[in-house]
Amino acid sequence: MTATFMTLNATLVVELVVFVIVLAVLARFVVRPLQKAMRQRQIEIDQAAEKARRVEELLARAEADYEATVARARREAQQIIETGRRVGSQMEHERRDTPRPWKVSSGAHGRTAMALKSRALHPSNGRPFGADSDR
Amino acid sequence: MTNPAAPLDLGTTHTATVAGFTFHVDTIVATVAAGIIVIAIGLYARRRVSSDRPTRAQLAWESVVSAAEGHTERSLGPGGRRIVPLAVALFVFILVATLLETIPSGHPHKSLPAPTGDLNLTAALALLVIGSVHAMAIRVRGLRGYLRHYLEPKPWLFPFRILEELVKPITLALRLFGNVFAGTIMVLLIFELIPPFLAPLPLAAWRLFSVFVAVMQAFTFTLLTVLYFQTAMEPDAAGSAAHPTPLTEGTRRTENP
Repeated sequence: MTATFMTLNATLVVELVVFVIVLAVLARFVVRPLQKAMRQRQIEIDQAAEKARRVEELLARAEADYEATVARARREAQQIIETGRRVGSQMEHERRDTPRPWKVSSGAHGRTAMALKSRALHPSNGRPFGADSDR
Repeated sequence: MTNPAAPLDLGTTHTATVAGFTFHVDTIVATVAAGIIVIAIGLYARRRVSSDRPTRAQLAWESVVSAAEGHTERSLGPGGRRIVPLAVALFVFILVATLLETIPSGHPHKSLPAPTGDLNLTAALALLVIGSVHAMAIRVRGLRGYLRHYLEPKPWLFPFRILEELVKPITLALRLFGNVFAGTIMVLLIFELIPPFLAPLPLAAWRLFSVFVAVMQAFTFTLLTVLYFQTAMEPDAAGSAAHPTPLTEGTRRTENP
């Protein structure tokens, strides 16, 4: 026996039951676990994004600290250099202003001057070590 | 090629009569087959559901679920999540059921005809959808609000509102049935009017187009379902929203302090 596809009959009820079963199985065993997995993934993505944001903030702060430290170190280095130059210049002036008892020159006069200088700087003032000044 | 003057066989189905009720055996077998396929691929994807290492099958299902979620939430708000399983099941089931036709299973009487090419399945789906829409409307509006919305915006439009509600399942069922059945007629025409040695070429082209038609019909049916739910749940003329939004909640509080 045959009929056309346009005839409505009890097949409708069977089709309805079959689809309701499919719907129930999909909703319970497929869609719900998938939604749960998708939500879990979204939470993980959000957490990772939040973590990345915090790391970026930390990095920015660390970079700022680094820049500030480097700038401070440069300033201090500059100050030290300035101080060194000033002291050096001052010493240079003092050295120039102080009259020198000898004059470094070449030849016999030069050697005499070096000897005098050596005696002036020597702790024993030119006397041999161990010699008593009273004797 | 047959006699062009002979009437075209538009397709028949084997029937069985049980306790006075007639059943389309081919359609029922094809529907059960489609249901088993859908459940099997669903459970296959579900077997290794993972949030960090999804399989291809899981991703394919997720794309459908995600699209359904996005569409229902845009149309219905967060309350639309409740109809996501229905939307997903409708889309996948209609798609698989329609694609059954692309499996060569005999001609002209197929072992596995597209069950969506039988009015019984499309009518069953349409009745289920429209029934769910009305049930949801009663649940959200309350019975009084549901009945009152038939008198809006003007009470004299009541007969037209009733007519509109009656026409909805009919159009929903006939649209899907007509499109899929037209595909069946096209295949019959190709076999009847084109010489057998030339038939495979247009048939293959039509089968490819059938895949596109199947996707479009499944999408259209699902989209219309969501739209019917949206219509049932949207605010009526009196200002009472079907699904409470912050604005309407505030309005209610102001009216009834």
